[in-house]
Amino acid sequence: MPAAEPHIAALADELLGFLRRRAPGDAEELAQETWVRLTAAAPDTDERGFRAYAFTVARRLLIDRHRRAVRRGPMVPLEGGLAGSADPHSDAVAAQTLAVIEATLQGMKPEVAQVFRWRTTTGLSFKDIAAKQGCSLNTALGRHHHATKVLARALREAGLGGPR
Amino acid sequence: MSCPHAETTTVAWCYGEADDAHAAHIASCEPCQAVVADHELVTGAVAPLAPALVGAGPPPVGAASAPPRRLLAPTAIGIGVALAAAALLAIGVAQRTPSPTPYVEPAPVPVATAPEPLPDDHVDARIDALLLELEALDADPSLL
Repeated sequence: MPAAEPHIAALADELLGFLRRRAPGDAEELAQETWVRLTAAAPDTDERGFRAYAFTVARRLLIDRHRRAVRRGPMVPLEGGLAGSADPHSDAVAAQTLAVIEATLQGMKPEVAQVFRWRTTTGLSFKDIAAKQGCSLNTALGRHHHATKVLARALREAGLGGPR
Repeated sequence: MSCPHAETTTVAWCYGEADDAHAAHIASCEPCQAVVADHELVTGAVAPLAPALVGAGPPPVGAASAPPRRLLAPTAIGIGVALAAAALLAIGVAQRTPSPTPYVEPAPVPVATAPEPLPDDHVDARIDALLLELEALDADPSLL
């Protein structure tokens, strides 16, 4: 029996719950992909380390999923505010989230906000962004990280920190 | 506590731009795990709103930091002067060309005195001034 299987069995429900809170429609698929990747990587670690590895991979898969959603097409029109949905609460949360993000980006240095906008709304790689901004790859990565870190704090402070 | 990878390799890994094996480091590094959590939170919040972020915000950094453009290149000034002259000429011709109206017996022609001044004589002086300016700019573009 592969070494990963006991760990997977112990974590399966917790990880699935974590993914369902973030990606209800894709949770099972993402969980399966997480286990496939962990089995392939076969990390030589204890249960705590395996858990950290599993959630790290799961978060990375969630990021991939979010990015695919952006590439699939707009869910919000460019003009005229947010698209109406059947759920007024969701609309209100989306409007509040957008307001927090925009206000936070406006408060950043232009080059920092620009990296974030480009990375979020286009298919530009960090290497491409670095070339466009005339900076090093690490600088582009650092700018994106700084923007993300500040945005994450702003979203949490606004009670928009997402599911735990 | 910090990690030298937290703002570089780990960020690139979040977006598939670093070796997958970096996951092993992240799993054993709390600062890097916090980075991944922040990026997951923010990408999740932003994904449905991304189109709204495209057009918003300040002008691109490149535009803001680029050296100020010349107001007009010498050739552009020349073209502008030529167009202005052509427009004035057209106006003058239009003012002197009778519109197609029904024929009316002309009134007695008054004795000619001084020629009727052009309606915009001062424009000629302005064009002359612009031509002089153009010559000066052609001679020394650094004046722009």
